[in-house]
Order: sequence, then C-alpha cells, then structure tokens
Amino acid sequence: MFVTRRLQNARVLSAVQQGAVLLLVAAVFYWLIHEASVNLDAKGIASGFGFLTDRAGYDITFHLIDYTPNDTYFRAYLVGLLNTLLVSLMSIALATLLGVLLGVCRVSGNWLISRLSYLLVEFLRNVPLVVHLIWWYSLVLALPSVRQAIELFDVAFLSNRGLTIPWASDGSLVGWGLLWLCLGGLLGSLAMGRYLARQPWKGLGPSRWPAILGGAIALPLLCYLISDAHWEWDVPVSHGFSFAGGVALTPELLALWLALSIYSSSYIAEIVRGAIQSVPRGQYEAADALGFRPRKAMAKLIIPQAIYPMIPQITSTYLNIIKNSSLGVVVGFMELVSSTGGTTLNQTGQAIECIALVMATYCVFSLVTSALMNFYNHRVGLRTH
Amino acid sequence: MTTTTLSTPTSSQTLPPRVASRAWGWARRQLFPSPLQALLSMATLILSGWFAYVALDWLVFSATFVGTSQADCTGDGACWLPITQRLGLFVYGFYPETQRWRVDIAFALAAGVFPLLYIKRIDRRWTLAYLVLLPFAMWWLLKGGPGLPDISSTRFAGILVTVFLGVVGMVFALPIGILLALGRRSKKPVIRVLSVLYIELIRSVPVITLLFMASLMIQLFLPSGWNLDILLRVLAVLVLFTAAYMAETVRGGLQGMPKGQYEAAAALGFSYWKAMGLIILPQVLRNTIPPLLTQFVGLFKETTLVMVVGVLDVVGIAMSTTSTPEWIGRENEVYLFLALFFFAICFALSRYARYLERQLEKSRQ
Repeated sequence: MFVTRRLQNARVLSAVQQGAVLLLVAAVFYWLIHEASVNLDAKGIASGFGFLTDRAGYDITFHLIDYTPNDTYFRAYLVGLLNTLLVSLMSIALATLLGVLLGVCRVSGNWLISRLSYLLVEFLRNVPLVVHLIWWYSLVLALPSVRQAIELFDVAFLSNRGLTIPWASDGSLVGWGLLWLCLGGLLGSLAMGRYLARQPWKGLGPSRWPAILGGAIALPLLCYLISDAHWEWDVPVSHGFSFAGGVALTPELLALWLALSIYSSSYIAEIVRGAIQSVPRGQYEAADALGFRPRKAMAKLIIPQAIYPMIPQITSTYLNIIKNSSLGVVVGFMELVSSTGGTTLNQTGQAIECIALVMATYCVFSLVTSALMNFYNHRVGLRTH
Repeated sequence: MTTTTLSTPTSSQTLPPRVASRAWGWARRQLFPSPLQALLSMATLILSGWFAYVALDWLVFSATFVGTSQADCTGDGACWLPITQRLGLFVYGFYPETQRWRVDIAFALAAGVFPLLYIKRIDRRWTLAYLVLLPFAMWWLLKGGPGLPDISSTRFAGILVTVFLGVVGMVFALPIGILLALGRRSKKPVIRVLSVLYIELIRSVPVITLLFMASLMIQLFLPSGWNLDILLRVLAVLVLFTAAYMAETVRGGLQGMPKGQYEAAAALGFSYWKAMGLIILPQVLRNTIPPLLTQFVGLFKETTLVMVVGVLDVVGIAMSTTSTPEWIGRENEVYLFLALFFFAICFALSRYARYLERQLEKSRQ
C-alpha cells in the first residue's frame, strides 16, 4: 500500500524510471565490454593503445610529413589526419567557389542560365558521392600516360599518375611561409575590421578600397617578406617515364578532391540560392525606390543580408565535407579512415582502439566547429538580430 | 516591378507596345534584356546546343545497343552492352532466376509506400500498418520462410540490396528516431542527456566508420557462436545512423507544435504517452512527411557506402562490371547508368517531397 502510493508520486516515479534506464544502459555496456574482453583474451589480443608505438610497416604514397614504413602507427595516423585535413580544405575551397557560382547562376534573371544551373545542381546532388568518386577516379586513370602527359602552361603535368605541380625545393619553408602569411592575414583582417567598423554606412565602396587592400594583401605580404621564408620553385620536368621535381597530387587525391568539391558545390549552391531568395521582396523594392542600380542593390543590400542566415548551413556543409572525405577509402587514398581505420586495424587487429581513435578525431573536428559556430553566433548573431 | 534577380529590371512599360508575340516578348525579357545579357544568352545557347548534340550523338545515335560482347562495340559512341547484357545482375544480383518474381513483388511493395503518403482518404492507421508490416513482408519474400524456399543472403546483390537497405532501414529508423526525439525533449535529465549524447555522437562521425564498426567490431562484442549476417549488421548500422538524423527532424516538428496542443492534452487528463500518441505525434508526423522523404533520399544515397565493407549493392555490381576483363574500358557507360539510376529515383522523390510540402502548406491556410 505504502509502496504503491509512493510510486504514484510523480517525482518518485520519474526518479525510479530514470534510475532504471541508467541501470539498463550500464548493464548493456557492462555486458558488451565483458564479452569483448572475453573475445579478445580468446584471440590473444592485448587491449590498449600501446600498439601505436610499434613499427607500421606499410607505405603511404601521399604524405605531407616525412613518412616511411619504418615509422610508427602513430606517425601513420598523423599522416592520415593531415591527408584528411588537406583534402577537406582543398575541397572546401573549390566547393565554395563552384557552389557560389552555381547558386548565383541559379537566381540569375537569365532564364536559360538559371534553368541550366538548376538541372546541373539537381543532377549533382541526386547522385551519391560514391558514384561521383568512382567515376572521377576512372576518368583520372584514363588520362594519357606520363610520356604523353598533358602540359599545363609549361609548369604542371596532368597524366594518369595524377597532377604534378611545382613545389618549393625545401618543403619546410612553405609551412613557415604560410604560417607567416596567415599571421599577417589575421592581423590585417583585425585591423581592417576595426577600421571599417568605424564608419559602417560607407559599406565597401571604392573609397574604402585602399584600407581593404592594405588589410587583405599588403600586411600579409609584409609579414611574409619579413619572415625571410623564401623558397625556390621546383618546376617539374618530364623525363619520359617520370617527372623530376615538383610534387605529384596522386590520382586518388585528385579524384577525391574533384568528386567531393563538385558534389558538395551543389549543396552550397542551394544554400546560396535559398539565402538570396529569403531576403524579403520589400528589400528589392526599397532598393529600387531609392534608385539603386540592380548590381549595387545586390552588393550593398541583398548580399549583406543573405550572408548571415547562410553561415550555419555552410558550416554544416563544410563539416559534411570533412566527414565525407572518409570516402577516400573507396579509391585507396590514405586518409584517416583508410590508414588507421583500415590498414592499421587489419594489421594489428586492434579494432576497438582504431575505430575509437578515428571516431574521436572526427568528434573533435565537429566539437571545434560547433564551438567556433557558437562564438560566431554570439558575436554576429546578437548584433544583427 | 523589379525582378528579384541580377538582371536589369525591364518592366513592361519600357517595352515597345507593339510586341510581336508573347513568346518573343518573353524571350526578350528573359534572355535579351541588355546587350551583355544577350551575349551571355547566345553564348550559353550555342554551348549547350553543341553539348546536347555531342552528348546525344554519343548516348544514342552512334551508340551500340545490340550485341553480346565487347567485340560488338564498334560504334564511335557509347556501348550499352555491359548494361543490357548484365541487367539481370544489376537488378537481382545472384538471385535464382526462377524466383525473381519474389523480388519484383518486394519492389512493388516498397514502391507502394509513396502513393500511400499522398492519398488522404485512406485511414492513416492503414498506412502505419503497411509501414510496420513492410520490412517483414520484404524479408519474408526475399529470404524465404513459411511457404517460400529459403535463399541464401549471399545471393543478394545489386538494386535489390540498395532498395532493401533503403526502405527497411527507413522503416526501422522511424520509431527509434521518434523515441530519441521525445527523449531529447524529455524533462528527465538522465533520458535527455543520454539521447543528446547518442544523437550528437552519431551525427559527428562519418557513416563509414560506423560501417567499419559493423563489419569488424560487432563480432568482438557478441558471444562466440553468435554470427550475424553482414547484410543485417550493415542494416542495423544504417538504422541506428538514420535514427539520429531523423530524431532531429522529428524534434523540429515537435518544436513547431503550438503549445495549446500540449495544454489541451494535459487539460483532458491524458497521460504523457496518450497525449503524444493520440494528439501530438499524429500531427507532427503528418507535418514532417516531406522532410522525412528528403531524409529517405539521403539514406538511399548513403546505402551505396555499404560496398566499402563488402556488401555488393548496385555500386558494387557496377564496379565489378568495369573490372571484369570482358567489359574493361566501359566505365563511362556503366557509371553514367548508375548515376542516372540514382538521379531518377532521388530527383523524383525530392520533387514529390516538395509537392507534398506545398499541399501541406495549402491545407494549413
């Protein structure tokens, strides 16, 4: 009697329910871990991350940091991580470029252009990324051999071994140079932002161009020149069967880059279109009434208003690009999943550790991104709304 | 009237009053409003015309449709023989030929869901019952069971696997997604935190890592002797993955419900489950049909990833086709076929979703 009355008390009932759920989850986890440890013991696999310091023994063709099969599994993980970041950044840049172009074409007043880009966007986004990827990979592999490589402006070669481009003769200098450039860019954008924010009504017109150019170009350049990280360009030369000098973007990287960029550009195009169309019609009419020319209205009224709602969606598309770069495993590009989640896992049998490591890395990417998003929303969201 | 676009506003009053025909007027407004635009239009027209000519020539006019082997591909254009010769493999995989009618019925049952979403005269409970029974009916038809001979799931491949994973995955993900959405909005902290953790964890990792988990890790967690079919393991991953995304869609629907609905349910003395099941969820689900369909399109595209862990879906069959010596060098045709297959289904479904959404908006007004 007492117990049933107690259970009818909502708060007690709720606590009991939650306790039961928690207990159930804990029991399932305990059971899984128990089974796993029994199974691992039976197979003679030691758990833990100790294997990361063992010799990897497999080669990775495309690596940004020095790597040989004699390096450790941990180094292989780092190579994979950097490859993931590289292909993601390359794809983000190209996808944004193509996506904005397609999105603007999509809202063009020119019927022909808007229809054609509509068709293109719909085709690109309704075909799975895997299909894009294997198709691009087959196209890259069908390029002429090294002997008949396509020469691009006398500096780069496109062949079935990928794209060979000029690179610094001392690679480490590039990193330092880029670092200084970024530093200058950061400084420049901070200074420029401060300056421009003082007179916001002037917008981004010609009278502000010196400031913008100074902030965006002059300061980074200055920083770069001061840093003294100058490198010699190493232009590739064809030697019949191979290329001397330069750096080769492997067919796998090329295919993944193109497929990922082109597929994701359709999503960015839709976001751009949606954002531009979400600006109320009254704004266009107001611009018209004030005698703004369409291009000026677009630059000064429509685009500034369209950018804010675009940011969260664009960010999630970028995050998707990072996640989708895991498809490198399909064509054998050694990024995070195919190096640590694939080869390392197969060689060591440490399935749980390897997959946990890969998943944790992706979780960090997404946590960092959402932290940046929150920061942005806090800064900009509060001000504009 | 300004145009909402980049073009120069050419309003009707700037046009000369004696416009020859409506078509000409339209073309002038849309294509040749200014010299620059006219130039752009002409360039696009010529380019796209040339492209259409080249593409059609390759696709149809110079293409080979009849023949049996690579040797018959004599034309300059595409050679569709790898598709026509292997169509059975593409659609049914290694399913025994005498039993293929079962697959056909399963396809028809799966396709039957979509018109059901549209016909409003049918009681929603029947739709729900259909959805609940569909996966079991499909499994019974495909795998066999009482009354039907058993077929090994290693014979499943091609479009059969793609459709099976997509449709069954979606149906199973729905209840889990709804529960997770309710959990995320629950007032009980333990349930809320667990739901949020699950949803955010799944959403922040790529599907491929989850599929790797299914193919390499699940065996470690199961008692020895338990051996789950790889197809079912992959299906489980797709369900758990889709459920996390679906939870967010349903949560959006739950948040969109007017507060009065919750209050009315409480005023009538409904318990939580009764209020949800009889008042809130039916409305939420009706409103979220279009986004859920969009999600299905996403899942249908994601199913192609299963070939990474060795399940032969339609992409797997296509890749094996292009790598057999018999059909080597016909990648473009095979992958174009693949792309068009997915495009046809996904585009139709996303148009359908948009149409349903517009119908919903109309009915709300």
